Amino acid sequence: MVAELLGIPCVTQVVKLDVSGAKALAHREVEGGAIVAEATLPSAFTAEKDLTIPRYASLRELVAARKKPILVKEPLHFPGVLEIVSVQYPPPRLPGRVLGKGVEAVPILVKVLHEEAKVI
Amino acid sequence: MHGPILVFAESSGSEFRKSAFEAATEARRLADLLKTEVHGLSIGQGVKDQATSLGKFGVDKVSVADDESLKLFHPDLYRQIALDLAKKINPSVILLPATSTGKDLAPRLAIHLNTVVATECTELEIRDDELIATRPAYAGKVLLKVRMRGNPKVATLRPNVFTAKEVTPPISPRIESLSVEKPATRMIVKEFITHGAKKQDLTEAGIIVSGGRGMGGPENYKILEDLASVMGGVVGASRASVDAGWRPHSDQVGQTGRTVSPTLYIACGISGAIQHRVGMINSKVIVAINKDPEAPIFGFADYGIVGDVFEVVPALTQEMRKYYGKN
Repeated sequence: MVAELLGIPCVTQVVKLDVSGAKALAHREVEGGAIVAEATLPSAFTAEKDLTIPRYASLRELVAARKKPILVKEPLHFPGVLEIVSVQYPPPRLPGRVLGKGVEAVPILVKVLHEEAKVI
Repeated sequence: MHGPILVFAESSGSEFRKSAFEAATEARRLADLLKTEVHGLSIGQGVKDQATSLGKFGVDKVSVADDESLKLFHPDLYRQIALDLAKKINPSVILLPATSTGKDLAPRLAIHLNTVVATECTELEIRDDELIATRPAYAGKVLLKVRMRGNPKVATLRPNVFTAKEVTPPISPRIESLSVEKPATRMIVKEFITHGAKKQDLTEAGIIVSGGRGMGGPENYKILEDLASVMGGVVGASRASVDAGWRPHSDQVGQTGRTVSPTLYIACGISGAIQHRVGMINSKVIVAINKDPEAPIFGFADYGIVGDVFEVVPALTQEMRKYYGKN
């Protein structure tokens, strides 16, 4: 949404990103594979797990971070939003039953999946 | 009088995705409640001939944008086509599947239409002429019911939650071809790299056989592949096995992976940590195979077998082979 408002390209669900000069080559994770897209910078990218490995800050950096100024901004209140009507827990999933131990339980499983659960 | 329900019928290649039919079915249901029409939108290459099949799921009219440049999802091109159509027909609701394409497209549309979007919806209802959407929050720990302030209402529907249902008699939808004008874009969508010959995606699969840390190593997934192949399912993985590098991230089920809702989920050597649970709890039936009788997964699986996956899974494959052979 931010990228659309700014009028810049946005590649979502990025798992691999290579920047060279004013262009970036991004791999987007999609059903069954990846889409390769090239965007001219400035661009926005939304990161998917595995894009980077988070690194731990060193002690020196941690100390330095404490001295950084924090800029506090007032939020803008935007009326056109989702209004929460109710919050509820999903219906609990009750424990089922253990059909047995080891390979002996296998024929029972096939039978209940077919006759009782009717999923095969 | 309500504007039509616009449904984005996503295709994969030249065929509609199952989630497109699910969204169309839900659109039909809402249209009947709101006494309006269902308007389908199909974008892609070679999609024109299949457009009429949306009529089976209750779509009254289909706008088709069929062009070589639309073979792969391009955010700017798809957004422009959908936006132009939405401005023309003034829909009251826009539904999209919560697939990677739908999830990318929905907020882009919403911002240009100056409205809001409810993502990953699991239920929609009309209350006092208003659309109320149910969507999971906090990794599925709670369900929020939200009223959508803004028009049109844009919602993405989680795949496999809504059931695609054919209407009788089927509708012969009116088909309209859209001319494709390319907007200015600074993005080039180059190619699609497939992860091999996987037929189905996890989020759309009806049967998933999933393996966790208990599988011991990447070579042992063969027994899960065998079981999945006999049952016509696909193989998934838990975070432990993805982090160990045994399986690609695209196979991961759970909080930082995919959220799946197959009719049957068989968890093999998976303990059932909360992060995994949220990704698969919406499966219709859950089967757990684990040697640890205390594993949390037995607390929410419908059926469990306590045993060694390396003995139980091959035996199950044998048994399923017999079952599918005679049925």
